[in-house]
Amino acid sequence: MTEPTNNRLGWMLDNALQMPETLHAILLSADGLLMAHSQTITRDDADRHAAAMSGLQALARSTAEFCGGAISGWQQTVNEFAGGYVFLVAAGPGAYLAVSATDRVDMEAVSFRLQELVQRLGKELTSPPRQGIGSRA
Amino acid sequence: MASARSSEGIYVRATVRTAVKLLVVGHFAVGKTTFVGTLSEIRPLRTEETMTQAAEHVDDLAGIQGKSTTTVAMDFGRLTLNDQLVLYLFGAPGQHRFKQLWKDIATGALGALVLADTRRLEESFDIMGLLEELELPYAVAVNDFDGAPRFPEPELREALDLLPETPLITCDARDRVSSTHALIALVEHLLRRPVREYA
Repeated sequence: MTEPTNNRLGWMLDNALQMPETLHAILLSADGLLMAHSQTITRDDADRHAAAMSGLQALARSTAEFCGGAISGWQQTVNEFAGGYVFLVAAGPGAYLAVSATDRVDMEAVSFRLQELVQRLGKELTSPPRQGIGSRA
Repeated sequence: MASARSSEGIYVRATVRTAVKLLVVGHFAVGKTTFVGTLSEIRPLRTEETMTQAAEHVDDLAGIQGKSTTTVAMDFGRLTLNDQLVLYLFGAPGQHRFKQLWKDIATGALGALVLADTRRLEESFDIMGLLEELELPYAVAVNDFDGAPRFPEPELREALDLLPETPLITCDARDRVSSTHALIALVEHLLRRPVREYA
């Protein structure tokens, strides 16, 4: 089938999963399309995961006003479940990184690791606006 | 593929030539979740919640039986149309209180399919107005509910105040073939539009 996303970045995500108790990692665009996924999750599931995370991010961001913060100040969203966590962090302009883990994961370490990954991969992990679409005729 | 309309936050990688993001919109209880679920080739994403008494006087269920849940965030499904084209369907909630989320979900979309119900056509105006505000091209698909009145196309067009070029289709959101035709009508409409509209 067609492969609309480029999974070249997948290996970087796999690398991030070397932390104990982490499960899946996906990289998604702000508009909810999958950009890369770890080998631990299928493409189909990753597509659905990406769409869900974009919706979650949009909702989370909309609640900033209730804590007096700026709308643009969203940093991360952490979902806690009885059996695990899903972390969602900004990964540069227009891209988000989501990592899921079991409930035995070291929260602090994983947060640190995610930020480190985002920093280190810098340009690679962003999805800048496409060129040539900036002006409407 | 054609580029999405311009605004900050449209991020589809340059390598993605065949993925098209489309919105499925419409008023409350028009069948958006059913539509996305019917068409998706993967298990769809659903964010349905049980409807509560709190919204009893806000979300009008007159004429609608058997509905007990409503979408609170979004629906998502994927449909491979052919080797060149993969459609990503994003369904946005119908109620006005979700308007901001609706706009966020619209980011990066190329176009929208507006589902309509002949028993409450007037409720589609808000939706179409919002799409026009976002400058998002759309097609209208009347969801053929059992027992809903049917009208000739010219009457429907007039009632919905559609532009001559806006496609109007009838579909059954429960039926895969019929729903696919509705999407194809939208895609063809998007392809017919001059490229400079997006450039």
